[in-house]
Amino acid sequence: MRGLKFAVPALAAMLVLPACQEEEEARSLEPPALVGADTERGKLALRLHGCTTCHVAPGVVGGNQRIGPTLVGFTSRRYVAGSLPNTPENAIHWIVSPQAITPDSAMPDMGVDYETARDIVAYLRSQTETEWGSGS
Amino acid sequence: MRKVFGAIAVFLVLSALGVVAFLYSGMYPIGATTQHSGIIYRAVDTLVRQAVMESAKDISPPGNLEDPDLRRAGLILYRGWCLQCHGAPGVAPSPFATGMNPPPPPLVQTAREWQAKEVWWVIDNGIAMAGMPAFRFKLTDEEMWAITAFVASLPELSPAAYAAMVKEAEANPGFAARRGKGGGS
Repeated sequence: MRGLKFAVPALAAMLVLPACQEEEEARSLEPPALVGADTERGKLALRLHGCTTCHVAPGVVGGNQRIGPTLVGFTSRRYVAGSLPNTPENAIHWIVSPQAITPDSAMPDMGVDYETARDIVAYLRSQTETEWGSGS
Repeated sequence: MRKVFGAIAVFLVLSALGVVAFLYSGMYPIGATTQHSGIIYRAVDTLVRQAVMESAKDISPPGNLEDPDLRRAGLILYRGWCLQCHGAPGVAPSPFATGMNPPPPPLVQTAREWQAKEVWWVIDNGIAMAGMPAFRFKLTDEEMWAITAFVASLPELSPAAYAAMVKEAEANPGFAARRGKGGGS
C-alpha cells in the first residue's frame, strides 16, 4: 500500500516526462516559425510552384538552372533577397511577396501562400547536402 | 550456333512480353506530381537538345535580329502567345503553367544557351511530349522571327527595362498589333 503511493506518481512521471522531453527537443531544433511544417509538401511545392524552373534545388531532378541562386545548402546562406538575414520568417516573407521586398527583382510573385512557403523553407532547411558534397 | 540464335530469340520474346506486361500493369507513376528519374531526365534533355540542333542547322535568320523594331514587335507577340507559360523578367507565368511536368522554362537561360535559329525552329515545330506547341499555322515565319529576336534579347533585359519596354510597345504597337490576337494578355 505504501509502495503504491510512490508508484503512481512515478508511473505518471514515466509516462509524461518522455513526451515533454521529445517536445523540448523538437522545439530546440526547429525554429518556432517552422514548427509543424510539412517538408514533403514543401519539396513538391518547389516543383509545382515553378521554383525549380529558375533554381537548382536539393532532391529535385532538373537541369542546371542558374536563373536564380542554387537552393542547395540553403541553411548556410546568410542572406535572402540580397539583404535580409536568412531567418525562416524572412525567407517565407521573401517567397510569398518578393516584389514587395525588392520591386526590381527578377524573382516574380509565384502565388505561393504563407503555409506553403513555410513548408518550402522547412524542406530547404532540412536538407544537409551542400555544394561541396553531402553532410552538414 | 543455332543454340545461340535460339537463346537470343527466347530472350527477345520474353523482353517484348515484359514490356507489354509493364504497359498493361498500370504501375507507371503517370502523374505530373511524380518527378522523372535523373537518368530519364538527362536522356530526354540530350535527345531534345541534339534533335533541335540537327533540325535547325540549315536555317538562317532573314535579317538583323537586333533591330529594335523587330524586338518590339516580338515583345507584343510574346505577351500574347508565350508569356502565360514562360513568364518574363520579373513576371510569373500563369499559375497553371508551373503545374506542368516538365514545367515550361523561363527563356532567359534558353537564350544564352541556344542559337536563334534553334529557338525559331522550336516555335515553328514545337517539342513532342514536352507541352511545347507548334506555332506553324498560328504565326507567320516573320512573326516567329520577331519573337525569336525578342527572346534573344532577354539576357540583356532587366525586369525594370522589360516593364519599360512593355509600356513603350503598348503606345506604339506597330505591325504586331494586327496579329497579337488569340494568345491572351
